[in-house]
Amino acid sequence: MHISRWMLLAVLGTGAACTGQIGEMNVTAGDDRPSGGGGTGGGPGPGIPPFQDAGSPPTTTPDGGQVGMPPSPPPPTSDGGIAPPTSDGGIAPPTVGPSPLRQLGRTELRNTLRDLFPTLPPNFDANIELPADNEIQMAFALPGMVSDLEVKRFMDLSEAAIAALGTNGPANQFTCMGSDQTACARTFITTFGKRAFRRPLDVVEVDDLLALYTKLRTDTQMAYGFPDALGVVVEAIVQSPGFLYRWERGLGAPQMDGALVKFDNYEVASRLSYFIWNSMPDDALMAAADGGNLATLDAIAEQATRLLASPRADATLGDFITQWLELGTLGELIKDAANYPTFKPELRDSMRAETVAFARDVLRGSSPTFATLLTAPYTFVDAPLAQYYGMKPDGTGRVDLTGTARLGLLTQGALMAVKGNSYRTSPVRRGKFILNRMLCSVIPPPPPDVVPELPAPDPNKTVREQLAEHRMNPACAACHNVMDPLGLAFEYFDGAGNFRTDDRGHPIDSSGSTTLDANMPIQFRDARDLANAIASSPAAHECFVRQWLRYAIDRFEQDVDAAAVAALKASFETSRLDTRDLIVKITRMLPFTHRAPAQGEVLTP
Amino acid sequence: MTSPLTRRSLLAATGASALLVPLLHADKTFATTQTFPKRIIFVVVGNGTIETSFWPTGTEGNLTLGEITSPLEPYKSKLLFPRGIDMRVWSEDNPFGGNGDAHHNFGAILTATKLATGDPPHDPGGPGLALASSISIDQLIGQEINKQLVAAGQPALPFPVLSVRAMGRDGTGYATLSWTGNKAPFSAESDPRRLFTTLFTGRTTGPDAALVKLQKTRTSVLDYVGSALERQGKRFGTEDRRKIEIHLSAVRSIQGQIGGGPVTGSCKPPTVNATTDFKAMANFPQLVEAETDLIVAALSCGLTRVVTLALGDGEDYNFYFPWLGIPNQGIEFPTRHKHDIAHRPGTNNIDKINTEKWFATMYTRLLDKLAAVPEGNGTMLDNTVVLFLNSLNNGFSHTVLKMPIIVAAGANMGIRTNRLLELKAEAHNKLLASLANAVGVPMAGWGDPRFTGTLNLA
Repeated sequence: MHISRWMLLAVLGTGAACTGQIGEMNVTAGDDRPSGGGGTGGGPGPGIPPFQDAGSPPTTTPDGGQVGMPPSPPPPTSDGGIAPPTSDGGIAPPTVGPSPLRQLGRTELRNTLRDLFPTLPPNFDANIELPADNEIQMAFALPGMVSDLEVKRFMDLSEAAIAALGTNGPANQFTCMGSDQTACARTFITTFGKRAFRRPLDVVEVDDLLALYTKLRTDTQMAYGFPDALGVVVEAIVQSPGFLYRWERGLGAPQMDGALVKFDNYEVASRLSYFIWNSMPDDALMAAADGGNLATLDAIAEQATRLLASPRADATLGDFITQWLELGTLGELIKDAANYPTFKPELRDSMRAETVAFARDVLRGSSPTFATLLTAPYTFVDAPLAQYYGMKPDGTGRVDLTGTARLGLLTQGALMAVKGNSYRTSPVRRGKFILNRMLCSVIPPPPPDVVPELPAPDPNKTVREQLAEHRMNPACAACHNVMDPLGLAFEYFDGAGNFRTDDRGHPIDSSGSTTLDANMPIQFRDARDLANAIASSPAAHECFVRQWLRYAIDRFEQDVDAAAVAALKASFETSRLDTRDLIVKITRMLPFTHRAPAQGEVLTP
Repeated sequence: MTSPLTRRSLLAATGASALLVPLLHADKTFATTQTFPKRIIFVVVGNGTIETSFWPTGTEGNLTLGEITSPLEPYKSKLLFPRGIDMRVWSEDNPFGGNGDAHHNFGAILTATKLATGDPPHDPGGPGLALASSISIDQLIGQEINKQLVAAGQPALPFPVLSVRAMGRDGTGYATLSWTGNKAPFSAESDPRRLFTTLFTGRTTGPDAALVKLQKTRTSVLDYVGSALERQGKRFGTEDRRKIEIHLSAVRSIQGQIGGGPVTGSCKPPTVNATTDFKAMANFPQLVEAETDLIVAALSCGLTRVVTLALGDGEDYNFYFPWLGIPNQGIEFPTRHKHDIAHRPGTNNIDKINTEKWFATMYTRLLDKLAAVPEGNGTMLDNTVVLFLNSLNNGFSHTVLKMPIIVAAGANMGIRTNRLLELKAEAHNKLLASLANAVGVPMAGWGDPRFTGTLNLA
């Protein structure tokens, strides 16, 4: 069953305008951009009780329209379409989703160039703006199609790299033994090409590049010398599909494993290194692939463990955390000076650094668990942030938070400020974040053409009071009853990420109740209680597993990947929520080692 | 999709015996009365307008412009205001506006088709990146003009379409107007200095050995890349193969640009300020001015005849107006960006009116520049049509009915101007098809076949 989000929206009906009280109820594309994805999924989100009857699905017409939709509010939906594993006890063949072709992401591209050309100056591409990776809601950023502009940028990038390398370029550093320069060029193309393509080149590929080399040398209007011609060949290699796409199988027939395609040794090497290092495989991984030593799950996991132990994985851990916490817009945050006079733009970097330093300390430490990430009573601040928070760190920047309102990632300035308005808190955005990223549950946006006329904030009321009035409207209540209590738990943190003791003179009430797991309602007094509840919630554990899986396989998990999700969740809980163990376990799973054949793919030799 | 009537199909319809006749006549016509190429510019902004301050009042030849459009007063006689054009391809597909929120409709504007659905393994179900599902009309016009030129024995234009943007996030349906096909964005240049390099490097001086070497090198490299792509795509599944095909068509497009020789005639490339920070929001007016100058130069130098210009994107979350003195405190959103202003236009709509009026001053400046290029006894503006379109009627309600549209048309474009043209729920498809006809690319309709047909603008 697939319910599109737009069909869910249709249930609300055009007349269901929310007459809200404050100007933030409709978290439309504002923090929802791009508002793609996440729209399918059978059944309700993880254990949100008011909507458990959503198990009776609407029927759909072949063209996607809906018939016979029940006149009930839209339920939050699971964002990834995972169906529970079948429990019929029968032995079904293993299934896995397809793995679409994609470009190297921007970070991957820059890292790969850095590793391919170790002497490349870091700012060689300062004036070359590649179009950014497009975000996909609830997943992690990926690039789209290669447009004309990108073709031009790839050209600029490769030319700038060769120019910046100068005599340190691979072609210049390559010494031709003997007098046959064409033979030397073939050797160079074969060896350098393999590093760049992360796999051996086939004979046609070598011949085509050699033909380019010959043309560059013999054409009277070009007439390049030996190293310069090879330099241009390097440019061509960097603009090639073999370099630019994550496709390390070469052009032969895929290796079938039953009805599935098994990634070959070179593909596995790149899947490991791009997952854990965001870059190309190192020599040891390539040697393992050359030797056919990445064919077993144990061998793959052993390499994953090695890669994860390397400091090169640190940037990836930070990248996952910042994307998972949706901190991408942190650098653009502007806060209203009248409401938050001590917030300065420089603090945005300090806040990001706090979150990354804390996460790295946890994930590299002796208790790299999901629970520690959410509940550890310490953090790291630099001097400006220490002053802003009013904290007194030790010499390493570490602060003990025991006895304060703060703990773990969720109450840190970065997340609180990103999910806050410029002039006050935004419990709706905060609640929506918890649902999306901690519970993998989707709240449909309000219908875009019924955005109500909303009065300005009322200085005589707390945000909580205004939200409560807003929820009196049943059309709004359906979703806001779920979002608002989660967000209100963070009311002790203002819209700019600082602790506060009152809401513009009114006392703060951060208590509430919610249901993270089916049939298990919980009460909380504040964000500390809520963070602890999320840390021990099976629904949150599964969501964390799914977030990491998406990051690892560069796609949403699908129904056919459900067995892997279930197995990962079980092992994650067995390991007491060990994140490092989870990362390695993912590499043993079918969605990491196999893919379904693509529709229309040629599988025969 | 309605298949556009191509020159080839027209010729086929008239039969081989008629083949030589138009060519002979063309020569004769050229010898007696000088004709100039027809150009078309599509200018799009997002987030809607204020209807009551946008539309003019009064009768034909006697219009009173609205507050928002008042800066266009000097060009009033060249303006057509078609009121009653709906983006039906968006509005009729579900109660909430096609593929969701109409802030994401840029990909449906010039394609006049529904957006593509998401890429399931990346993006289950949803509209995802709001990608277009078919070629946009600027691309079709650009391709047809080049076919016409080649058929007449003239060189193809190096830029069948020149796509430019100011602000906006590239590569998604939020910011991209021009598409070469299903989910295939034709990205727009956003940096004036790079745009200058792209347009004019090697075209302002005579042949130069170093430049010939560079161009030949690039062409050779891209030849290799193209052949590698062709080979790579063969085994792939349908969707993956399409990605490779899109990449390949982008490679061919860049090769076409490299091939062009020096420009001829009296065109003068503008000077682009070497130090202005064009990314700073405070310098946005300078950015639009620099891009406008480059666009007009590219047209007058014969590098292109079709231009798209996006000022911002459909969301405009990073679009502020510091030069208009609007304080940066948001009302519905964290900051006072263009989207916040659309939802909260200010007391008596003051902020919305002022910002939209500013865009009209930029439109006026574009028309000034076109009118400053002499062409025969008149100016380049005489042979140009400009479509100024807002992606929404009202940014608050997100409606795409009765879209705010201004057509500026020169004397030789066959469009009757200086009037408000009242229409009833006409699909914007028809307007696009009519404009294509006005620049000599005949078609009976454009985009979604449900909304085929043209408008009589004469």
